Amino acid sequence: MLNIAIALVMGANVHAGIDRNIVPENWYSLPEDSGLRINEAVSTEGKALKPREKEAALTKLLDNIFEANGEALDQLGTTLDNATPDPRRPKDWTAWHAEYFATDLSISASGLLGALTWKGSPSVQVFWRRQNEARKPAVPALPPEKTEVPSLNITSDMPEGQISAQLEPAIRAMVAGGKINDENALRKNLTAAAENFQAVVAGLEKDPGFQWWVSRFRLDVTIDVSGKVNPFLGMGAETKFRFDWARIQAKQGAVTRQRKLAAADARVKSNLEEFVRATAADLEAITASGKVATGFQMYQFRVGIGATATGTIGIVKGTGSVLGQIYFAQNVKKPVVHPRESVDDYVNVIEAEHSKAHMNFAEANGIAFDSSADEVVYKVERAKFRKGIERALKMGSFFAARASQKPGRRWKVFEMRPAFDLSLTGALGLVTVGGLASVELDYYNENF
Amino acid sequence: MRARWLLILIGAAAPFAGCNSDGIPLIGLDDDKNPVEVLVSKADYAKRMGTAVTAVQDSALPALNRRALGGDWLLRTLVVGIGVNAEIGIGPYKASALPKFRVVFSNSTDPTLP
Repeated sequence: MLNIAIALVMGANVHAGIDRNIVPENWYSLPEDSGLRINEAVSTEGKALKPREKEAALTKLLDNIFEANGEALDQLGTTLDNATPDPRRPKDWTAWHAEYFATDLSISASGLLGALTWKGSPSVQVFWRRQNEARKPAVPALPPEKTEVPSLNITSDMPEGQISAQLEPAIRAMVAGGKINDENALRKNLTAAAENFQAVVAGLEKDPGFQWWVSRFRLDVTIDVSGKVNPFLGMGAETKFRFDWARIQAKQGAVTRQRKLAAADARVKSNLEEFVRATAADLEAITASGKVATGFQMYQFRVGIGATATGTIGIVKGTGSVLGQIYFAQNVKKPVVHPRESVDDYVNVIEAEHSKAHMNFAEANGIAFDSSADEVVYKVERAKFRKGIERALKMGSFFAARASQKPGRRWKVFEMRPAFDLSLTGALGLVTVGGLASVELDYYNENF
Repeated sequence: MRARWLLILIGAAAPFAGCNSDGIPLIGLDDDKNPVEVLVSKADYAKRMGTAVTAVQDSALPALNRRALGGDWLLRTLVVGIGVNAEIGIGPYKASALPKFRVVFSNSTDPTLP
C-alpha cells in the first residue's frame, strides 16, 4: 500500500514537472492502437514538426540523461596496470578492465522519455566505451544475452557427429533437470532439429548480391516433457533451447551442405530465403545514401520472424509466436549496389493473438489479412514498409545526434540500438516500456 | 495512522521539488507489469550511478585478476547487470523503479559485445 502510494506521489511529481507527451506521438503510437484511421494517422505526421518548445524539451531531457551517464562513468578510474606477465597469455591479452557500459532508454505509454528501470522494454539501447580504448566492433557485434537458454552454435559445414557431440552436454543437463522424461526421444528430436536448422542456414549463406546480408540467424524452440521439439516459443513451462548461427562477413559462393528436408520444412526454407532476399532489397533501397548525418552509421538490422502453419514467413507482431531473429549486416565500405526490385509487393505481418481492434482497423483501412485459428497474417504494402523504415532511420538519427553532442569526458556513446514495433500500416514506432520490438536498428559511432 | 502515512508521502515527494528542470525520469514496470515513473535529479542520478559503477568495478576486477591462466577454458568476458538499489543509497526509490545498467569486463584488446 505504501509502495503504491509513494509511486503515485512520485508519479504526480513527474506529471507536474515534465510534459509527459514529450516524445512526438507518431514516434511511438501505432495507428491501429490509437483509434485513428490511416488518413487521420497520416495527418499526424504534422506532429513530427512539433512545437519548438517540445522539441527543445525532448532534446534537453535526452542531453541530461547522456550527460548524467557520462558524469557517472567519468568517475571510473583506469585499471590497466595489472596485465598478467604469464607467458601463456594470448596475443590479444590485456588487463581486465571495464570495456563497455550499457544503459537503456525507455518511452512510457504517455510519451515520457527516461532511463529504463529493472523491468520493461528498452526503446533505445545505448553502449558506452572509453574513447581512447575503443575501436570499431567486428561487424556484426553480438547483442548482449538476456536469457540463460541452453544453445548450440552451428555452422553450415559442421559434420553430423560434431553436432551430436555439441548437443550432448545440453541434453544431459536437460535430462538431469528433471523436465524431460524420454532422453532418447530428446536426443533424436533435437539432433533432427539441429540438422534442419543447419539446412536452413545453408540457404541463408547464399550470397544474393545485396549490400545487406544475413549475419546471424537465431532460432528458439521449446521441448516438452516427452522430448518433442516444437518450433515456437510457448508460454508454458517447457524447456527452451536456442540454435544460433552467425558469420562475420558475406562470402561469395558459400559452401553449403544439401540435406533433404520434409516438404513442410522445405517450404519454410524456401519462403525464408525469399523473405531474406526481399528484406535485403528493402534495406539496400532505403540505405542507399549510406550514412546518418550525425556521425553514426547503421550497420545492423534485426527483425523478429514467424511462420504460419502453411509455411508463410513474416514479421512477428506481439508475443508468443516468434520463430527466430534474423540479423542483417552490411559491408559498410562496400560500394552501394543499385537496388533491385522485390518480387513480392507486400510484407507479411504475423500476429498470434486475434486482436478484434486490429482486424477492424485493417478492414476499415483496406489492409488485407488472412485469419486462421492460430494467427492473423496482415499484408502490408512493401512500399509503406520501406517508408516506415525510412522514418525509423530518422528517429534513430535524432538519438544519434544527441549522443554525438553530449559525451562524457572519457566515456562516449559508441553504439546505439533503437527498437521498433511494426504497425499494420507499415509504419514503425519506437517500442514503449510495455511493448515488444519487431525490428531493431543498430548504429555505431564513426568518430571513435 | 492516516496522518503518519501522509507525512511519509510528503517526505518522499519533497526531494523532487524544484528539480524538474534538470530531472531524469526513471521509467519501468513493477512486479505486476504496471508502469512506474519516478523523477530523480540529474546530479543525484549521476552521483549514485557513478558510485554504483565504481563499486562494481572495484568488486569485479580484483576477483578477475586473481584468476590464474591455465586449464582448457579461458575467461575473456564478464557481463554484470546491476540495479542501483537501496544498499548503495538510493533510499526512498521504489524497488521496481531502480535504474539498471550493464558493465562488460574484458581482458582482450579486441573484444566484442557478448
